[in-house]
Amino acid sequence: MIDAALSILNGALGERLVEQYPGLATEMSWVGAAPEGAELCIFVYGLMCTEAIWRMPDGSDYGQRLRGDTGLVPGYVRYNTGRPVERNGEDLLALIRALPEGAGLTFVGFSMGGLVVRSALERAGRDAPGVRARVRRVISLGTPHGGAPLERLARGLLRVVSRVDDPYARLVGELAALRSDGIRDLGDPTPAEFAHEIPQYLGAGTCDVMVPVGSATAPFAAGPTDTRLRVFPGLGHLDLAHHPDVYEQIRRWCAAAPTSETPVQENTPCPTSPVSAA
Amino acid sequence: MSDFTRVRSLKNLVVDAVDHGAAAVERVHLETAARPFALGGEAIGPVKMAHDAAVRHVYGQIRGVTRLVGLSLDVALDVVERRRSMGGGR
Repeated sequence: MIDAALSILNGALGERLVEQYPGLATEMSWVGAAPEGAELCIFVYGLMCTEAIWRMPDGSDYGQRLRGDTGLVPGYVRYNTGRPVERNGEDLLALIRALPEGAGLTFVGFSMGGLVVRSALERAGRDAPGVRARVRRVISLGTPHGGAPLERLARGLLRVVSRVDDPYARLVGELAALRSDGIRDLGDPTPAEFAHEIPQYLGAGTCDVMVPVGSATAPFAAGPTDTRLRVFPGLGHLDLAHHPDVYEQIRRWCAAAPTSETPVQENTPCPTSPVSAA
Repeated sequence: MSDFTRVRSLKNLVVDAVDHGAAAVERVHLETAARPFALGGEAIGPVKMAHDAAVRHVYGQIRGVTRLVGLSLDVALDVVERRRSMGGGR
């Protein structure tokens, strides 16, 4: 409960928490001990989440299952999701560089976590080519590669509100201006060109209103060679972090050769979507 | 990060939130009230002055009490932390 409250505070206030209320700020770190093994799988959660987001209905999680099924050793990252994505990427890279050298690396990023992984690997391309060479694959689930429409909508509304001469409108504008850099970063599409030598796997849910399929699969449209995608019918944003179907796909991605798979796209109506219900 | 640092940060956050929140609501209160007062012209000036003074007093009291509570908590935390570091407190 306290962890959940802190993660929301971190996501909402970001750097402000680090500067003014450091006791409440979460530092980039491993949950428990740093992972050790020949092949590691690093899990990076999204905005205002905790590692509990990975917990599946039966109490297991993707990492535990992967360890049993493929031998990948899971490592779970905890961080302040309100900080700028680039700074979190920098810290994630530092965390990875502190691991013993030689292990193969698979990354699973959920939502903002996928952007943090991308940022870390972009930096690794400049500062740590040895780390980048060890990356086997990057899996992003519900990651707003093409930007998050809700943040863009908020920006548009705030532009309108800022022109209204009304004390309540000004108050709303002031409150919205407090939102963290991490939230603001979600509104911007990330550059399409990204580490083409690293196989990328993209998961999206048809019922995801936070990160629509188009945004989550934007790198596929950009056409890097080893990008594969899977659109999960009926899954919402949070489902992508702990759903048995998603795990099954992750397991296959981790087991199969990067180029052996045909992209899958399904267009099943979303049963819980307000749009389809209308 | 020690528990004391965490508690102190939480205390500072709550105090700042109440302080800034009260200031923001006070501003909205005064600006909103200024509109009907403006319709009354100069004759209603003294009433507006009395109203604004009362509003500022009330919100000032909220901020003052909040800061006082914050300072008291600081002192209490200092005492507990010192006792702990000396090994005498629980």
